[in-house]
Amino acid sequence: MQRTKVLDHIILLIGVFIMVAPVVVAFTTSTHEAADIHSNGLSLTWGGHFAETYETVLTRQGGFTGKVTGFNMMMNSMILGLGFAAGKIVLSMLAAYAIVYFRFPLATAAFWIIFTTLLLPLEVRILPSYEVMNTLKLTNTYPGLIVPLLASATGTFYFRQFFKSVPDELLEAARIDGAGPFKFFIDVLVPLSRTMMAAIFIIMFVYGWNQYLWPTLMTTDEGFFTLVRGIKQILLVWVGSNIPDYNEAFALAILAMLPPVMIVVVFQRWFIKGLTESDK
Amino acid sequence: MPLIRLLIWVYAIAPPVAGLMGMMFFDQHIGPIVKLAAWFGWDIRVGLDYFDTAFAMIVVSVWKQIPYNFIFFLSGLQGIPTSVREAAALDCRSGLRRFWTVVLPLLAPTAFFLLIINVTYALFDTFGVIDVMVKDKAANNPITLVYKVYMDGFRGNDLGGSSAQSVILMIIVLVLTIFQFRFIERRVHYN
Amino acid sequence: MAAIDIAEVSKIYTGGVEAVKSVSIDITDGELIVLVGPSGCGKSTLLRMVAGLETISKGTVKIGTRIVNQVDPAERDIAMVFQNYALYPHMTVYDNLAYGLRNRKTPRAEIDARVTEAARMLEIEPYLDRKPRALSGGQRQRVAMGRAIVRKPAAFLFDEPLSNLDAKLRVSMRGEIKRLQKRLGTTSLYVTHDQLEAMTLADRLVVLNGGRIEQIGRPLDVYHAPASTFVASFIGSPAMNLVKGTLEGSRLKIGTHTIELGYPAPAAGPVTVGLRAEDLRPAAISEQALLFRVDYVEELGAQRLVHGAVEDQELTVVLAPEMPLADELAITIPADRLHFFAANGKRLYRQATTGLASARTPTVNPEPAL
Repeated sequence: MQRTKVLDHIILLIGVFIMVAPVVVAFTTSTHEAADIHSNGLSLTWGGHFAETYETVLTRQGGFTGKVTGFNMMMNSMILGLGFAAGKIVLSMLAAYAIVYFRFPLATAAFWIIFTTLLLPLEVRILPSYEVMNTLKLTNTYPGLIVPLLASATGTFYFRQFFKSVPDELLEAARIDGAGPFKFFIDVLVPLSRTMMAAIFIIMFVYGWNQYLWPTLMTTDEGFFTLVRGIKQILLVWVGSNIPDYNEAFALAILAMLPPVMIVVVFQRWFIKGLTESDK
Repeated sequence: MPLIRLLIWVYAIAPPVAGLMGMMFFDQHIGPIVKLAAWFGWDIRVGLDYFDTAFAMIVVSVWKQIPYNFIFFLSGLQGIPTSVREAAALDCRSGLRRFWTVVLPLLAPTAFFLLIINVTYALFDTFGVIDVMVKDKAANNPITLVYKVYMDGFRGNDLGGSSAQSVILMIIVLVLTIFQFRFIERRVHYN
Repeated sequence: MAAIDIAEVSKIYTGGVEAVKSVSIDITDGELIVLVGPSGCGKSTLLRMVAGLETISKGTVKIGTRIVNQVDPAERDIAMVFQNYALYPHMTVYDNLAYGLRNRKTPRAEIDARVTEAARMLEIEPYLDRKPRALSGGQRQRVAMGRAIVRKPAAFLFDEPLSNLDAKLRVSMRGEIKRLQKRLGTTSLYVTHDQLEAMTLADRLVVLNGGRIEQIGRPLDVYHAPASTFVASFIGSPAMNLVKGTLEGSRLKIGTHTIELGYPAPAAGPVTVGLRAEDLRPAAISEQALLFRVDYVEELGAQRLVHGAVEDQELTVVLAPEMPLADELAITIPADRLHFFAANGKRLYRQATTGLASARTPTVNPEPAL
């Protein structure tokens, strides 16, 4: 019994090493100077240039036009992540509420239209989506960045499932107590959904923050670059130079993963709940 | 539980960021994996050799997707009733055999679900990894259909070809979704 | 078949909680022992220690002649029926029954014979090819029983096997378990929280409370001579009435009422008096009586539960339904049907003057009289 426990732990530790080591190495290496990395390779030791590197990455004007700093990109990422998560929750809760609680004409049709969006992830409709945004002159704007991403049924299905599990007696009791549809939604459903909302919010924030393809298409103005979007740009700049700025690349990578990773680690329980119960 | 925390956080890393880290680890000058492979006489040349590039992309993409699979397998394992595991403990002495005959069959639905999810992931979510790793020089490098749709449509201005490929992509998604929904139906029966 | 010897077994969880406190039970070969008690009394933990699903913190468990403390559950030669049946959902009924035998390298022909026999016995032959999810609760219960029977183990362990069934099915399965157990003659340990199930099934029952044994005994002995107020209130329905009284010589005072016992009281001073609702009856004019104020009545059909009070102490009385009711009744009880308990809840035993009393030999040492 004792021996298998030790073995279990060794296996677990190997797993943790494989998952964690690359990120740790990326972080420690980012504290070295570029020339140092170039001659000595990746490093697990503390390089002592943490402040300089991260200050440079956060505040120095980068990219081709010099219009954007790491800090700007971080703010853009934040706007995208939060805006996407909040928009997704509002939209999908309202849609699910309508689907579950109202018998309106063409309800079935509406359900199937929402359902088909599951078949159309952004990746298969990038051309038309881009065309629409371009015509509306929404390229290089935050709405242009966020709104097309919202159009998918994942969150709606999740809330639909949850609302269906709410007992009908609750609606009946609320009706007897004189609550209309709006009051029922605000006073009963929303408070009941609180943990679900938190779980979905975390998943969606991570999803929004990590968006890459759509921001690549939508933002040509570097002022609207997100961190994740900016990475390749940075890469392109230093690819040509003699001694690539490995340290800055790593620092940027660390910055880009920090907020979503923090959220996942801190709210692990809700995160796992959201992931396993929504089934994507 | 703290160890589990460490196992799953990689989920939150964006594909292009993972790709960037992969670039570093597979870098000609500083990459430890390249050095390790050289030890075994394998000269990895990411970006030049088709197979080596594909290998690096797969390593990075798999690494990033491990937490997702881990979480679902974990919840799948936790979903097996304790009493069923105990009944098996009374019926079968060998732990390995027990795993093989009771635990694994009960995990099969989870594995099937993950198979579909992972295929979807490979189709769509690897875009960032690929884009960072091929650095706009798709020439001789392995790319996915989504990447080709993007390249043809936005770089090559071949709107027709790009749209046609989008339609193919949509059909693939349709098939996968049907599979997934049939699976969910089956799993409902399972309990 | 084998005897099971549980000797001073304790379960101490990490953190110091002691769920089972030095419990000893001798189970003879072929006996059906029922562990009964409220939830959290340690009955399931004890059963699981016998099964090997929990480690034994202290003491020894012997199955047959072998101490099994360190023996793997699969090697203990026992079979268990779980509360939620714990059928393998991915296997057919046949495979569920055969699984344990296959793992023990039983020849195929014998597996087939045993499964067929068990299926016939439990009337589940038509379902052998089905998966558990296609069965009703009662059928699943039978499959779970079958899985235990085919193994022909030294002992059956039942962990509340009937509590997921509806009331009607529970009664019929109860009878069936008793019948099967007698027919197979397999030593059995059965856990339940239902005192009726315990009474009807047990050869001997073990009443547990807070990890300790309150009483071990044959169902009727426990019913007629509960060893403590806990057992008195737990076994029997409606629960035994417990009222405050005072013993003086051979006289019992309850409030202002006095009852002549006709035998020397087992103690003197304040005691808890136990009166079975079914022992109480209306008093004849000449008899010594308690004045009973009726509060409300529950009709059970065959009988009637009358709830009320004698002065300020609540009582329940079982009366025949055709008896006329008044707001106040004079009720009485034969003196030899009274139970006395000391302040610590232990039974006070009468000196063995009557043959009846000595027949109910207590299994727990009487506390010295007050």
